[in-house]
Amino acid sequence: MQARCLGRLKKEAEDIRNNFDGVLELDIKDESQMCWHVRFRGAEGSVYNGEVFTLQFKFSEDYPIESPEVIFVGIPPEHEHVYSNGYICLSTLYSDWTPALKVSAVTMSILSMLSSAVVKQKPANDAQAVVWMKNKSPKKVNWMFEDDKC
Amino acid sequence: MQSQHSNNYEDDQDDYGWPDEEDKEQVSYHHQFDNDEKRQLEKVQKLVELLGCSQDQGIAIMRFFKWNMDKLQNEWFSNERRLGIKMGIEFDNDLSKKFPLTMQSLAHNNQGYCMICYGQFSQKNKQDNMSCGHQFCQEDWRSYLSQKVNEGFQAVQSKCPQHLCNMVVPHSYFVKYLQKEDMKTYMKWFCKAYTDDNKNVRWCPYSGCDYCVEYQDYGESDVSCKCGNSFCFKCGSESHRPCDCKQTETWKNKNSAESENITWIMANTKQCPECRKPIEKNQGCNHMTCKMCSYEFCWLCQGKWSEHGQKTGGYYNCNKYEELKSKGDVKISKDETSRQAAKNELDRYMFYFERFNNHDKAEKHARSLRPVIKAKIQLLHEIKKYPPSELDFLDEAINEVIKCRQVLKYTYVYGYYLKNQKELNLFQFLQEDLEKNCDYLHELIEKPLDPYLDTNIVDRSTFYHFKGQLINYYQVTRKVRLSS
Repeated sequence: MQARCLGRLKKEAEDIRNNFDGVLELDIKDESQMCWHVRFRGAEGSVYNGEVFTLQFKFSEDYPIESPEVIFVGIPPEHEHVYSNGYICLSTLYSDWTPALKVSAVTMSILSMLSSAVVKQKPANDAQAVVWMKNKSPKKVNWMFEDDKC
Repeated sequence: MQSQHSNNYEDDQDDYGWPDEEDKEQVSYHHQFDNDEKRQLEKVQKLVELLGCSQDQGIAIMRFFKWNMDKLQNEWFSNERRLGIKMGIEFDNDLSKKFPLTMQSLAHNNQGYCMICYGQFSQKNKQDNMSCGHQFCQEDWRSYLSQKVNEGFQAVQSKCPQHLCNMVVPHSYFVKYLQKEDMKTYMKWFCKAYTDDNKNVRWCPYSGCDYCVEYQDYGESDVSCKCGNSFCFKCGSESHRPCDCKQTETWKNKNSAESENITWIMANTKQCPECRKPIEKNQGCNHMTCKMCSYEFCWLCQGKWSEHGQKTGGYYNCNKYEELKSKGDVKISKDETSRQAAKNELDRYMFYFERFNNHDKAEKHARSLRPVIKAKIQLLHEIKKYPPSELDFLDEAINEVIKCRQVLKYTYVYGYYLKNQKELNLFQFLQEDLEKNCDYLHELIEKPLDPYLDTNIVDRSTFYHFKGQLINYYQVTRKVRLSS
């Protein structure tokens, strides 16, 4: 087990508890601390106002050099970049990941992605995509990042 | 063509006692994969002296301009700062205004902490920073760069680990932090980047060859690689003189594509008048029964079979066709003309293709002979004590045969597309000359060399006679090849 990964996760947990109190709710699922659930509320004034969503973070030993696997669990938001299996099409999670990013920053950028949506809408190819994403980690999917707004 | 790599081709650079003649062949700068690094850095060094920048910056600038010095000189000086940001050697201060949270978090909230491991910097692990100011522990740098390198060749373009930072990781960081295998991989990408970016450098297309050739414009696009093969620098495929790249491509497509099958179908089949399925008639009578729809018809006139009989001159002798033709039935004669034209075209194509293919096979055969000749040279040297310099002619000759076969192969492509009859005549004359000489040389070099290995025979004159003959043909062939 990489000391870096554990040390960082410990500090990140502190960071969320201290600096994001009332915004992000952290639930460390796995005892070895490699699986986290982060709950947050849809922003006021956005189409998701009041809805509660849960993101699941799975970390590998090489975190944060290697990106975490991030998906929505429970009921995912209806959003153009979120598939109904909870997979998220966001370049920051895959090709644009950098080790200087952290759980809170990722969650906040997903929250901001949701907040900028005008209508609730599923991705155009949702049903089809969910079928061929089956049993495939979101990190192994070839995402096409077409736009950064929606 | 793995075998040539093990020989000391590069050491034998003195000419083999062959008369020097005006060589139209490309004498290009060949360099080995391993040398890329040096070559790259030499070029960078010149830039460093010119601009007074660091080596790291020099590498980034050269890469950005794809090693094109002209472009660099035109654009760099007028736009230094903007380009510096674009190529990642100067920090974009606008970024910290645009993304204050991510960019300044370090300076404000995390001062003294590494943004990767969140550990506090100590004297031991503190890292000298790039001009963007983002700091990371040495161990984290190592892990970060190691991951990038193992992800693929894009590693050379890695950015600062800070999210959204525009700075490119300098070459010296890779050199400083990477170890053993990772370093090897990085150097592979480093060299690959040079070859891939630089329009004047190409990988040798022959399988198993790891050399690159750097092109210097002598007007000729044929370059020869250190591995002994030559290729066209323009299109990157095997040498195709006297054809140009476009012709060669058209020919290749013609050979592989379905288009020739269509020509064949046109020449040898007719459509069933009822269901339009193409039907092939190999031999036999004109009474056709379509397998698809059981329609019976006459091959010649494509009329209904039941209408045939006495009035058409007998069931099996249809003069209806001749009749219609003589009357000038437009439809039938038109069909027939296009069919005939297709058949002629197919015959013509087959003629050229057969010869093209023949030389292609001969070339492959000659290539397989190369290691055999090498072994023979070794034996002649060991058993009969001929000095190596006196035996090199064998190697030269087999290489000449390969080159000739290659040229001859493409003369048939050239001939196929040559429409001017006068030119064609002259061309065919030259072709014949080369073919004749090449065949003879090929035959000579294929002769068993064993008689010359017999230790009981002291007289060396037969061997020297053979050598003289071979050299003679080698020279003639070479001359013909280069003049055509």
